[in-house]
Amino acid sequence: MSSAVTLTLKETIDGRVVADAIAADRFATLSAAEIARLPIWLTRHSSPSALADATGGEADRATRGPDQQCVELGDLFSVRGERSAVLRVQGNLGNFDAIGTAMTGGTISIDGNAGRELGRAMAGGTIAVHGNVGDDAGLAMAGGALLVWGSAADRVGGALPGASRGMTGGEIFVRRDVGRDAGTAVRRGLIVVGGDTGDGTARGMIAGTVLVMGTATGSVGLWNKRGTVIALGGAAVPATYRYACTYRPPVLRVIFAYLRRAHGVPVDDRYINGRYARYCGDLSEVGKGELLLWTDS
Amino acid sequence: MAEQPATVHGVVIDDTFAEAFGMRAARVIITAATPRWARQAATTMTGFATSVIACKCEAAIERELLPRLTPDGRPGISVLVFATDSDGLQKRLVERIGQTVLTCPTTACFDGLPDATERMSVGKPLRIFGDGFQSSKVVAGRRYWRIPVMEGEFLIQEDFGRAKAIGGGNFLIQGETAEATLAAAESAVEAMTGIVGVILPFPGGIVRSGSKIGAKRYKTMIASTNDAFAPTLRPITTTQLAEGVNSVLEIVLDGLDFESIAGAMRIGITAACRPGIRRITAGNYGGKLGPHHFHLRKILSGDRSPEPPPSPVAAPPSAAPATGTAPAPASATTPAAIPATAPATTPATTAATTAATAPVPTPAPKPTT
Repeated sequence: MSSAVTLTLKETIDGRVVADAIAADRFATLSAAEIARLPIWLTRHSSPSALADATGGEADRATRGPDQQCVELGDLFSVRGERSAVLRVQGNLGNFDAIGTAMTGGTISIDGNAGRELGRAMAGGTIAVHGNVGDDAGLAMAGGALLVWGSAADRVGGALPGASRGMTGGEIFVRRDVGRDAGTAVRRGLIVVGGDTGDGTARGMIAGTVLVMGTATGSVGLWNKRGTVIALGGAAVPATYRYACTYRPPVLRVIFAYLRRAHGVPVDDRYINGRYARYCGDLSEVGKGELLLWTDS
Repeated sequence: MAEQPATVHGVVIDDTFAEAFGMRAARVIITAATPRWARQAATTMTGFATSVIACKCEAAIERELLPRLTPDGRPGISVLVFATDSDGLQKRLVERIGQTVLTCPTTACFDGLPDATERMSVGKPLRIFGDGFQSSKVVAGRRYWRIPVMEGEFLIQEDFGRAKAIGGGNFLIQGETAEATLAAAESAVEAMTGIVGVILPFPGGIVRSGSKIGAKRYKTMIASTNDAFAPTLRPITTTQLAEGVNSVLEIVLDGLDFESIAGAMRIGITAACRPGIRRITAGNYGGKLGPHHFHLRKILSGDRSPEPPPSPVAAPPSAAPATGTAPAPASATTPAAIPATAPATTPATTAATTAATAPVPTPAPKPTT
């Protein structure tokens, strides 16, 4: 048993790679040889340039083809260590999708970018990415923590296609910006965005919390049922929300204290001690959700 | 092993022990916008909680908490609540928090035993005060209820931890005058204030009316005055007062574990041994009722290790310390468990047999006098 398993990408891969075999809890019982034999699916692309964009571009999507090939993990990575739930991955994995799928425990640390669907349906453990991640990070996530030190693309914490619920538990922290539709249909859990969010934040949110430390651009909280959207840098209040009061929500202090202590998130005192304008909504839904906007007053 | 002192600063330490009982405890963290309001809520919450005889629980402030030690980063107060059983503890918390913390401006309420595996639902039953407008948030795996109130919002954790604990640690300060005895007791309380894991549930931490089990004259009384330590009765009862003693005060301690209580007793007794004090003793029932024995001399020698539990005795499972004077109807008290009284000068094991703490076989429904 090793203290950690280290995977080092041998060379840059063309096309997208489905790497759902890379999950820390599964590595805990596998030898180095067994890890090296895990299946990895390659999809070749006619447009390799699209692969460089870790956040996943439209061009990349359009050229996806059926040319898939199964290879062994050892073909792409050098494997060091065995039987450990602590996994370190080195290399730019911007085109590696579905890392940490259904993970229930352990730790994955990625020294670089990660592709789409990072932590898909994960229920426990921690995935830390020291770079950017692609679309659908935390897709249908049910537990654990996803820590992204860079930016994330669209649909953070979203739902599987056709599913009525997005994220149902766990925590997602993105240090910088996120793309469109962050927190769509979230049922439970916490999404913290250190920068700005794109259009459609918390769309169809059922419950849970989305904290935007920058500006929530575009529409925010449409069809929100009981969820909480906190915007420290402001947001456009939808017409279907109504102003309630300006106060200091006690629960925010707990959230901020937790972020500071557990994750080292820098939260300025003015946000902790400040007052927030509360808007109830979405009144086109059940109306038990809220939009909390920090006020400088 | 360290030598066990017979005297401290010239004050005789009886070779006896305090006998204490198993209880269930919770720690409640109350925070507020200012230390004043946190203390106000805590003081109100722990009012009328001196003895399980009639108060149904024993509670007091454990210590003040700096903002960096509280879940929401505000000034806080830690309160310990003790009851004889788990269900009773949960009910008392719901009652008291609902009436005294929820109602107090700016407060929020958190569990202070997050690692306890036994959990009680406290915020959950209180949430319905929100009449359907309440909402919850899960932060770090813990659910908090947000109850809308006229001031804004009351925040309370959904469940609270429950721990096995000990109630009824005690020692008696025998002084030459009432003034000297009170001063010694105050000194002891001051020294013990803020010790983690321990509370002194009586007024100012001091009991002036220690009780014995049952009564000689009134069959319905579950506890009555501890005549063996009442100076005014010295010539007409079997006294246990040392010569020259004209006043006795008792310190009662509840704690989360044996070591905490023993440590606090050591500090308190040492502080109480000052001019004007003749003797320090403790209340027990001969060791037959309570499983936790705090030997004074052993504690003062620095040995805080608990004794192995005694063999099962006649004490009912619900037996619990019933400190103080609150009378209650007797149903199954066991006065026979009290050994015959001993001469006042007799040290050692029989010295404080009529203890200031008494077991409560069943919760007392109401006082009879």
